[in-house]
Amino acid sequence: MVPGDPDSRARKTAEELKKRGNDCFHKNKVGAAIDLYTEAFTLCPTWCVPLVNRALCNKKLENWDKVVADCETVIRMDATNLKAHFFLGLAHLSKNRPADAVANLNQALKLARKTESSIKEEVWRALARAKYESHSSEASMRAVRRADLLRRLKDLLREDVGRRLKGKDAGLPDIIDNTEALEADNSLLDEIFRSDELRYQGDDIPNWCTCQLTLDCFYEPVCTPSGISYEQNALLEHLSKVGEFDPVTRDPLRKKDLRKNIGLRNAVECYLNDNPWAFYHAM
Amino acid sequence: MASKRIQKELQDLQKDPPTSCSAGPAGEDLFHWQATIMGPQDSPYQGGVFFIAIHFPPDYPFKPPKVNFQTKVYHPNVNSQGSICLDILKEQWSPALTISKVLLSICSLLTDPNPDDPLVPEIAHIYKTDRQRYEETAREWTRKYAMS
Repeated sequence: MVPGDPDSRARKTAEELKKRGNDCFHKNKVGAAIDLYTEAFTLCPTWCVPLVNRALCNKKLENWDKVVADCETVIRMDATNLKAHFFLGLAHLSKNRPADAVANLNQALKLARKTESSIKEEVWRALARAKYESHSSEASMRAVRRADLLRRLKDLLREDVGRRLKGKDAGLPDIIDNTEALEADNSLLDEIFRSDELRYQGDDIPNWCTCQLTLDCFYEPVCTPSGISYEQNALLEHLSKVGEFDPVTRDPLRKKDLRKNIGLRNAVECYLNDNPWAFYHAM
Repeated sequence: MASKRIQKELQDLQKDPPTSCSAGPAGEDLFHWQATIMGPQDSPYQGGVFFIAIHFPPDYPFKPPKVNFQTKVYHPNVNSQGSICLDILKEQWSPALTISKVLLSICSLLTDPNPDDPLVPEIAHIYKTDRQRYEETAREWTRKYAMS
């Protein structure tokens, strides 16, 4: 019998240790929980649950390097482990590696959606934050390069005009023509650079991206028979707390009438990816 | 969800303020706001500035905000405590409504009182039977309490 087999004695003992670990964790005895999970994992190294739980403990203690190590081990054993990808993503985010965080959190979101996991929304918010932070660092580097490039281009243009006027015996009309052309070129350059700058920042997301209940960016929209979409959790809360009607049209509405609006969800994601500054509104 | 949603409403109000009203937190507490409404033109409240207190319940927007006049108003649907009789603040509340929409509804309630569902039956009666007297009293109260 192999040690990882659920029926083996080692596994049974490991499960007992894990259970005690969970009890400790819930009583906020995180250090004791870590010891119990470690023991369970040593006893049964092919069973990854104790390791995932140990990562959760270290996440709580903000020992991010340990979270990374455990999650990477788990992912090598089971590439579809949702929590391992999620915790690893959070660790990368805390260690200021947003691009790595995006990769793991994307994976986690895919897994969470497939299994309709209860942490789906948490994963989405973390992904939005990772994408926003990754965008911010890219945007600030680009802003520096952009300003430098603009300055150099303007210098070159000015030098170019100077050279052209020097070559011949320039009269006043020549000087005026060239100066006007230079001004026009400079303002066109400003305009072009400004539009690149705007692509990296914005302050308002379009209404179709936001739910009228949360006023926030959609992440799991559902559509009612009136054709209006709402954020799923907010609408379910409305149906149970306020009443069984559509919040905007006030038409009668039951939970069973709701349909996922996958088209809208994809459109919002697409919009966010094209306008990464807007991830700020999805965090 | 409540505090996030209230924060969003505040941002939207600051970005795109409605013409005749303003609103924002009264102090440190995000759940306690103060708003002002300018008395609508073509109403006896014209020229007055009316203060309104807004309290958000912890499960906002799934419960309506509590909205009260702090300035005395002579109106069939507003009593001496400042309570407002407005359907959307009670059984007709919907979480799709916002403070901005509520304030606009209060503005239109000032312009068009609803004497058939009165909070102060005496004022409603005068409104229905002697419109001129109602308007004079409302103007007088506005001058007295809503202008400084």
